Amino acid sequence: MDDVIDLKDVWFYYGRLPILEKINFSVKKHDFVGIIGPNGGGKTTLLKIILGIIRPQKGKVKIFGRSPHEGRKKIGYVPQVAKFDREFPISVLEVVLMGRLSRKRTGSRYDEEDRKIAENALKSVDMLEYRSRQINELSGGQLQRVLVARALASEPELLLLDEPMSSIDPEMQKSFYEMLNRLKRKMAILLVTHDVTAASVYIDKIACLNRKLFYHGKTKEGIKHLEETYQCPVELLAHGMPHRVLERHK
Amino acid sequence: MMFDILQYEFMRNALAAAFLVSIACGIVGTYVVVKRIVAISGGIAHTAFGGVGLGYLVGIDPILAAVPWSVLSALSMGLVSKKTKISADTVIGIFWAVGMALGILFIYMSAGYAPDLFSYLFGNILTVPASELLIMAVLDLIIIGITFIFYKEFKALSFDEEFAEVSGVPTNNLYLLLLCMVALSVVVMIKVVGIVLVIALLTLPAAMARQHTHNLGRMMIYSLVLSILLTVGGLWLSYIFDLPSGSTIILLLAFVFVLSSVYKKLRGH
Repeated sequence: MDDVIDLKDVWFYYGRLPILEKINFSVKKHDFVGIIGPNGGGKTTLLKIILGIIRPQKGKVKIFGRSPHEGRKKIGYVPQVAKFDREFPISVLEVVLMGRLSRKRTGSRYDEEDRKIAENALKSVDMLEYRSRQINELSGGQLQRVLVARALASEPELLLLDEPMSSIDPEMQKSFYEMLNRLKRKMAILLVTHDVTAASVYIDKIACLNRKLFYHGKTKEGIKHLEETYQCPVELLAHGMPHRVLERHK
Repeated sequence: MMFDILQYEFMRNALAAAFLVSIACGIVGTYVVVKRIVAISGGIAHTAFGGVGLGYLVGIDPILAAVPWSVLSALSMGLVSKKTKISADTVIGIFWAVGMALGILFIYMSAGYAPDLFSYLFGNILTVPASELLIMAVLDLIIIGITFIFYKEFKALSFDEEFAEVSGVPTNNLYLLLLCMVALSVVVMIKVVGIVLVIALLTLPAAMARQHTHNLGRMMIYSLVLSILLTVGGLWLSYIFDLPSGSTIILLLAFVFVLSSVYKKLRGH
């Protein structure tokens, strides 16, 4: 069985400036992995490499055992809500139908089957009743769910989320994580964020990225290294009641 | 009164031209507005002047010469801004000026003089001959065909280019194709409003349409209808008040755009 994501000794430079150094990273089936790191730590670059949008100068990238260009069809990509033009004339269902794009030929139209799959995807994120709404009528959290539905409509084997919590109210984050946790049974999930508190008990493994990647198994263990990367105290939130996982740094 | 003027062939041609212009304006204008490529479209429009000048120089219909010229310049502009480190607005500025400069140079070098040069710069819907209507109709058909084939891809490209790329859409090539459509629609519009004013037809009807619909396809239809009504309306006004047609059309468009914005504001959308 091939890994979902397999990066070996990946380096990326912007000019002569290293953005990523010697990244070794893998995601396996049914993993729920969080990559945490400060802004400018290379998270976006790593995402783009996984999605085959840019190529690293050095190292091997395998997505489902193939090149990112071929393997990315199995990735359901959920970009940041913030980058969207909310005034774009498009309805919720149309956005979700876009998830079928990778399965359609040029010149064809979305058909009944696509519509059914899109509506099912909306149902699984509890947004079906909003299908005819315009995207400018949605809250940030609702649009985030629609973007997850779009990714699900492509029937992915890996869900890739970029800063999913930044546009969601704190009280809504819990239900968002529960939704992801449900999806975990069907696919691997990789979540990228700069928000340390977003690291949830639902995440199985945490990796910390700040030019270099520290990738360490289970959440609690991972946190120790997280602090090395951040050089600052880190708090983890459990749902409902926040509790501190580690002592504060002196 | 409206029917009186229809007895003149130039008037019938003008109405046909208004209709043909509106097709390009409805479809391509919608993409120009939602994809926010107004600046590069303005660049493509002005660069087209080089093609008009070349037409004079080699002695063919300037509109016909402008077709390959503006398609090639649209492609080069798109490629240079994507593949080099020169920023897009710098590239647009350079092409804009060089295109105009070449146009002036070509016309200076051509033996005769250019009596209707003014109409290429500022438009004169009353001077569109039947042969050019045919060119405009063919370009419209190409635009409709391309849009029909790539409708869902263009929508994805405009809404979320990165997602489209990850979904396997050849976004770079599609973007270049979109610029080529802009180039074709510029040529369709040159005679009606002129190179300098083309950008108004590419933006104002679509911008108005967008205020009143949230559906991309409907936005195209609305801006097509608005464009027909307002170009014909502008033509009519220019006829009764004996004003230049191109600028009358544009000013009418801008005036109605203001009304449309106020209306939208008052209705509280």
